[in-house]
Amino acid sequence: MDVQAKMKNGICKVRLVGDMTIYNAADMKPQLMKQLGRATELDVDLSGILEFDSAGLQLLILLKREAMHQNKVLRFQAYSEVVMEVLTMTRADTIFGDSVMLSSGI
Amino acid sequence: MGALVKSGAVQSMDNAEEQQQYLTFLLGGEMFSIGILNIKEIIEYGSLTAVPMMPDFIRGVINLRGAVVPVIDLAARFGRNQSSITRRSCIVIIEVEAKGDRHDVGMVVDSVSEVLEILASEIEPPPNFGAKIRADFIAGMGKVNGKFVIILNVDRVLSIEEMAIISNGGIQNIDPERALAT
Amino acid sequence: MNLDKALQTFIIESHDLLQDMESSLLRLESAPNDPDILGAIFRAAHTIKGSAGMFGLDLIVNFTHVVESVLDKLRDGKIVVNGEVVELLLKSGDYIGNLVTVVAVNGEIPTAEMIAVESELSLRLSSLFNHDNNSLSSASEQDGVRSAELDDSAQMDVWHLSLLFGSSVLRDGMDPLSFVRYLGTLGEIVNITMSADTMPKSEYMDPEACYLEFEIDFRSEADEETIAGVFDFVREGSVINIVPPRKKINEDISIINHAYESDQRFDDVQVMDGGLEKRHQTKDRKVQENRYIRVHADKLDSLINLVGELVIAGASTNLLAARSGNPLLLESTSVVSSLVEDIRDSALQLRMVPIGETFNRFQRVVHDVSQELGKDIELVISGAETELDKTVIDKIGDPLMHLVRNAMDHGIESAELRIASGKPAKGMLYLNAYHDAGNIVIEVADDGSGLNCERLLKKAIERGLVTVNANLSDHEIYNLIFEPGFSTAEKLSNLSGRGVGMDVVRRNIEALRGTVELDSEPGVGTTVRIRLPLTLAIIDGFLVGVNHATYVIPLDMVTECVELDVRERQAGRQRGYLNLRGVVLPLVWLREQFDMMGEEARRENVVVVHYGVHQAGLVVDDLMGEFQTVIKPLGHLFGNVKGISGSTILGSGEVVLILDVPSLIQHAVERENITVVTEQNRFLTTT
Repeated sequence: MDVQAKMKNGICKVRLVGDMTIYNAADMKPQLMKQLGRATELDVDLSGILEFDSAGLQLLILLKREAMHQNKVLRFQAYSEVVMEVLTMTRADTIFGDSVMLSSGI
Repeated sequence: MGALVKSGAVQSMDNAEEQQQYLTFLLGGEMFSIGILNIKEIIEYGSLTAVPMMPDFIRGVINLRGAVVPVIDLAARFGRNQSSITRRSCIVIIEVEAKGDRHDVGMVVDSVSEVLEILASEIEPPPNFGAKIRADFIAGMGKVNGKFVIILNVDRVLSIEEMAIISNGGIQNIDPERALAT
Repeated sequence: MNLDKALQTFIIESHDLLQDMESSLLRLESAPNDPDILGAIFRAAHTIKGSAGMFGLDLIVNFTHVVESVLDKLRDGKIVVNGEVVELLLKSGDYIGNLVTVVAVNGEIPTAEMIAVESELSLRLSSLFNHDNNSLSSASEQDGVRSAELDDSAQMDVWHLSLLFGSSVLRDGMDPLSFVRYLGTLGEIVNITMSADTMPKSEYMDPEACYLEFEIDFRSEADEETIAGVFDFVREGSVINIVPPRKKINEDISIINHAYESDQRFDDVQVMDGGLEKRHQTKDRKVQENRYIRVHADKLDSLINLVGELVIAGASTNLLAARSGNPLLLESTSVVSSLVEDIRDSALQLRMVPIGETFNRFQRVVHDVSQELGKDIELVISGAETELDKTVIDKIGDPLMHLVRNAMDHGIESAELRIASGKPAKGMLYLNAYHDAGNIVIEVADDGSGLNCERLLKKAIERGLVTVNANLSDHEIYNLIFEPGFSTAEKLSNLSGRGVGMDVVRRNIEALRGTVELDSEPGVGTTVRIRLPLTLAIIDGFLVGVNHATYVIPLDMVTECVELDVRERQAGRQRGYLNLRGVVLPLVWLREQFDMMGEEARRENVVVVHYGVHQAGLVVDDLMGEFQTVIKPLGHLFGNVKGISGSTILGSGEVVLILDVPSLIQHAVERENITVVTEQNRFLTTT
C-alpha cells in the first residue's frame, strides 16, 4: 500500500494506492494517523484501492472517527470498485455520512 | 570466488568458506579430522547393545537421552579390524541426512584430540591413489603444522543408505532362502 | 496472523465432506429415494461451496454450485436417481477434491486437462438439469404460485441476525464481510446496520483485531441450520444470534397455544413433549459434534513418546523402591505406577480410531473395479466400529487394497461362470474386523472359486519353494502364495498384475508386527485373515537373557516357559525339537541364531511362543520376568535384521532388542526345510 499525500491550499490530499487488508493493516494505521496529524482538512482518494476487507474498512472508520474527535474535516472521495462494493453491501453510510454516498455515484 | 576453484576438490562441502574448524581424533594411531558443523556431541564409550548378525562396522546401538542411536566402528568401516576399546575411547555423535530425514549416528574413535582451524587455502584435494582408505571417504587433506591430516567426508563415511545396503547384503548371504535358491 | 490455519481447516473439512458425500452416494444406489441420504449429500456440497466462498475460491464455488443445483433437483425428486447420475456425481466429487488440492492446497490454477474434465462434467450436469426443465414445464408455474405466497407473508419471513464478531477472526484469516457477502447468496438482505462501537481510541486500536458488529434483517427460505451454518467458522469467540422469522415463531406459539387451549388430555401434551425432546436431542448431538477438537498428529505422537518415557522412568523408580524395601515408598510408587498405566492407556486411546472409515473407502474401489471388470460385486462391511491405532490404520490401506483387488480380480468368477456353478450372479466381498486377544483381526473374504491346491503346489515346486515330497497340509499350501516370487495370476491383468505380489502384502503386514494367512475352500470362497497388534507404541514384554545380552519377547506371544533339563538338552539339540507333552515343538537356539560367541550357559530354558497357528520354543539362558516396554524403532540401518523387530530402553537406561517372533519361527521352519533338502540331496547322490 502506498500513501501518497500532498498539501494544496491547506488541504491535505491523500491518495491510497494498493491493497488495504489485514495483511497490511498494522502498517497502514500509523501512516494514516500521521496524515491526519498534518492538516485540519483532508481529502482521501480511495480510487486506487485494489483489495479491501474488514480490516481495511475498520481503518477507514477509525480515520473518520478520529477526524471527528479532533474537529477536523475528512472527506472520502472517488471509491474504487472493491470499496464501493463493501460500502454498498454494509450500507456504511451511517458511519461515513451521507455526503460520502452522494459523491460515490461515479 | 577464488576459493571455489580450490574447494572444488573439497567434495560436497557446501560451506567450505565457513567450515574452518575441524575436530581431530586418533584411530589406529593415525590422525583424522571432521568438520565440527556435523558434530552434535562427544560421549564416553559405554553401555552399548550389540545387534546380532550385523557387519563388523556396526557395533550396536546406544541410548542417547531416550533415543536409540546406531554406533559405527570407524576402523571397521575403513576395512580394518574393529577398534579395541580403551579408557579413552569415545563415541562422536554426528547428524547425517538420509532419505530427507536427519539421523543421529555415533562413531567410535580411539580418542579425540583437539579442534583445529584449517583455512580453506590450506586444504589440498584428496590424492587419487595411495591413500589407505577409500578415496570417496576423503573430503580433502588439511595441512597442519606442515603435516597432512585427512579430512573425512562424513556424508560418505556415514552414509546410511550405503551401510544399510551392505548390512542387508551381509544378511542375505546367510539367508537360507537365498542359499536354497542358488 | 494465521491465514493458513483456517485454510487448512477448510481443506481437511472439505476432504471429510467429500468422503461423506461419496459414501452417501454409494449408499444411494441401493436406496435411491432416501431423503436423509439425499439431504446429507446436498449439505456436503453446500457446505463446501459456502466455505470455499469465504476463502474467495471462486473456481470451487462455481463448479460446486452446478453440482449443488443438480442435487437440489434430486432432493426435490425432479431428477431421478440412477446409476448414471450417481456415477456423474461421484466423478464430480472427485473433481471437487482435485480442485481443492490444486487451488487451495497448492495455490495453483487448474491444468488444461482439469478444465477439460470440468467442462465435460458441467455439460453432463447441466444436461440433467435442462432435461428436467423440459419435462416439467409446470415447474415455473409452481414457482410462480410459491412466490405469490411468499409476497403474502413477506413481512413474516424475515430473519433477524445479530452478529458480533470475535476480536481474533481477522487474525484467524476470516473476513466478516465475506460472511455477510455469502449470506447474501442465501436470500435477501433487507436491512443491515454495521457498527464498530467497541473500537477504542486510535492509540489503543489494534488494526488486526475485529471490532465489527452487524444487525441484519434477512429474508430467506433457507432453514435455520443452513443460516447458522454460514457462521460455523467463526462461532468460537463470536456472538451470533439468529432470530427466526415471526411466522415461524407464530407457528410454534400457535401450536403450543393450540395444545393448551383445546382442553387436550395428557397424551397429547406428551406428544408435544416428545417433539421438544427431539429438538433437545438434535441440539445435544450438535453440542457433541462440537466437542471434538482437531489435534495435529505430531502432538499426539510426542505425547505418546513422553508417556513412553514416563513408563520407562516409572519402571526404574519401581526397581529402586523395591530395592530400598521402604514400605511407604513402595506403596506410593505402586499408586504412581497404576496412574502411569492409566495415563498410558488413555494416551494410546487418543490415537485409536475405528477402522470403518478405511473400510468405507473400499465401497468406491469395489464400485469402480467391478465396473472395470464387468462383474457385479457387492461389498459387505462389518465390524466398522473396531478401533485400532491410527499409525496402523495409515499403513494397512495399501495391503488391504491389494487384497480387495485381488479378490475381485482372481477370487470372484465372472457372472457366467458363477451361474454355471449354481451361484448367484452377484459376487460378494466381505470386509470384517474384530478384536481378539490384544490383536485386531481384519478379514477380506470373497465367495469366489477358491484357490486351486494342486496348481499352487505345482507352481511352488517349479519355483523351488518346496520339495516334491514335502508333506504339506492344504492350509500350508494356500499360504505359499505369500512366499516371495510367487504369483497366482496366470495372465497378468492390469489390476493385480502390477509386479506386486502377495509377498509384499505379507512384508507390509509383518512390518506392522502382524501376520497374514489365507484359508480357502474350492468353489466356496477365500478368506484372508490379517492379525495386527492394536498399537505399535507399547507392548508388554518378557525379558530373557542370552549370553549376557538381554532380549524382549512380546508377552502376548509367550505361551509358557519350561526348563530344559540336561537329558532333553542333548536330545533336543540333536533332533532340533522338543517333545512337549507329546507335541513336537521346533526349537530355536537364540545363541546360534544370533551367531554369538561365548560359553554355553549352565542352564537353559525354553520359552514357548506361538504365532497364528505356529508354535516354537526359543532356547535362552535366563528368564527375567515381565516388563512393560515402549517400542523404539531401530531405523533404516537395521531395516532387514532377521529376528529383531525393534528395541526398547530398560529402567537402567540399557537398550535391549525386541525379538521378532514370527520371523524367528519362519527362520526355524526354513532351516528345517534346508536340512530336509540337503538330506534328500545326499540321498539322491548316494543312490
